[in-house]
Amino acid sequence: MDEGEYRERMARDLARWRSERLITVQQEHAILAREGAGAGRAVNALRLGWLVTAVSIIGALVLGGGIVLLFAANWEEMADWFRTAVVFAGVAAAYAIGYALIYRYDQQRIGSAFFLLGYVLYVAGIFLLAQIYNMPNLPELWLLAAAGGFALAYAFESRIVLLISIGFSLAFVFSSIFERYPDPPESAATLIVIGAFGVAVYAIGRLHALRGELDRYGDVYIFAGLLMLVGLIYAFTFDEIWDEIIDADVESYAAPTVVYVSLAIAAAFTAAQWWLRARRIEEHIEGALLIAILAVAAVVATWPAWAGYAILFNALFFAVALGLVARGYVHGDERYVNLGLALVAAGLVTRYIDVFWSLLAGSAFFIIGGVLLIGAAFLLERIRRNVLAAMEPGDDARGSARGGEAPA
Amino acid sequence: MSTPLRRLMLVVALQFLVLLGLLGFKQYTVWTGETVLLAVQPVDPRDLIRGDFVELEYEISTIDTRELEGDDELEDPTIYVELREGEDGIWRAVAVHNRRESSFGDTALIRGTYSFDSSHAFDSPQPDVFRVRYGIESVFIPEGSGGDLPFGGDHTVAVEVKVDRFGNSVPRRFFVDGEPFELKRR
Repeated sequence: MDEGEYRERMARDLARWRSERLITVQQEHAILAREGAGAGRAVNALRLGWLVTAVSIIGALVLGGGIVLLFAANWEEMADWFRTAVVFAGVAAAYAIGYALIYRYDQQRIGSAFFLLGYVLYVAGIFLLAQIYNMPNLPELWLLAAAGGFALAYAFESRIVLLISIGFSLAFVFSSIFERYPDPPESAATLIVIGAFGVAVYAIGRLHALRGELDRYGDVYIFAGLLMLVGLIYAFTFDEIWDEIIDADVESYAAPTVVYVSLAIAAAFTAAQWWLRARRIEEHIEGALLIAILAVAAVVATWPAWAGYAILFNALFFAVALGLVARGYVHGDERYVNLGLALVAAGLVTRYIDVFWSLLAGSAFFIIGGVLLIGAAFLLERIRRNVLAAMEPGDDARGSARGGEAPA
Repeated sequence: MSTPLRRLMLVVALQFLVLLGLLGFKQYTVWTGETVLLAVQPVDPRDLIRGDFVELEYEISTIDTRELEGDDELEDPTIYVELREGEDGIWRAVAVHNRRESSFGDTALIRGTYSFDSSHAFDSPQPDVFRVRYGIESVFIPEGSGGDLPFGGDHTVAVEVKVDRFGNSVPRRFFVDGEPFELKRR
């Protein structure tokens, strides 16, 4: 490792320790100055490192997409044996180059991008090989794609591959339930499986945080689980869904078994993480909120015909958003604060459009909407700054009093 | 062997195993399967092409248990449709079974999944006519060549399908009026 890479690594580690509240900003700067890097230079190097990572990842995805498109366009002209050889050779070559770059030439970022490229080619290979045999887009193909990704992610600590694999797992769940239950009302009820999957993924993330060596994967699961859960709650805030169920005279039904099984699995994961990690009041609140969401989902799955669900899910949506802000504040994690406030803003804009679109003339809608949005943005930014100001390091007593848990 | 290299070898081995498994599963059907010719028609001629594949409805996609031998009442969604070759070379359904039969002479068993409109499920929990999907309804074709298939008129369009002894099936190529029909990229 040369001098520049050492400083970059040091700056990155220091930034992580600062975010984990192990050191203060002043201590970070003092260490950087002590090592002769100078805070400005080291931080610039750190930022450049992230830029290299981002460009490498985008490059790998673009290159993978290009290769896939090239072969897909000429797929029918190739012999079966050649297609198969291309898939295997492409995957092997990408991994071999990635390995050489990381372990022979100490190019961690570029090498990791080639690992990502290898994974992209592996997934593409699954679907291209399936095409040779005219297989339809079976849900199991997504599961195979996810399985290969989980193996790579855990073996080489790749968070982006992990995130993609969780996404493929969701695609498997989504396509499986809709293949099995294509018709309403079962198809509507099985949407709840996605929410249950989101809660389970979130809880799995919390379980990861319990083991030091798995901690770095935890926030990927938590982020993915949150997206799934909030996405489904958001979809349920619209009254059109409930109106359709009421209009269809579906007063009550027992949802397909898969709905209740998925809710039970999600509840088991939630209970496990609650039992194992709950030491403080906010962890009890979080565990109780997740269980409450699952209970509401079970009620909705069984008795879906009620016009009040749209209001209930709006309340739930804003409760989750504000809960994220509160959690971010308590744990000193700016990401939760920003995500929570972004959800609040998205919810307000949605409800404004939902309510006033048909009531106001076009110009009045945009003028009033624009003014309200700017006002809301101003208010949210003030809240955000106040919250972040309260989180500034230096208040060591607060961190100690909370047990010094690393932020998710 | 260093630890990272060993880990990489394991990951690559797992991924190759998945790819080879997928390949082997289907190739087994191609190598060992009975070759049957199934008559097809497009689901909707105007929506024939979706990208670079055609969505097909086979003659055996709709079955009437009253007209077929075998089991009268279907249980699990997975069923086995028994096919026999007709004088025109086209294989047609002659029986339907809930389970795979061990020996069936000059016939072939193809596995499918049946369904019916759930909105009528309470009125008629066991209808006689079923829609069956065999997983061979989408057939990939060279880019822009879908319009070359002479659906309609006096032509008989069929697909050559390999069916193995487990009922798995793989569509291979098109036949028009009993002759192989090669689609070319446009």
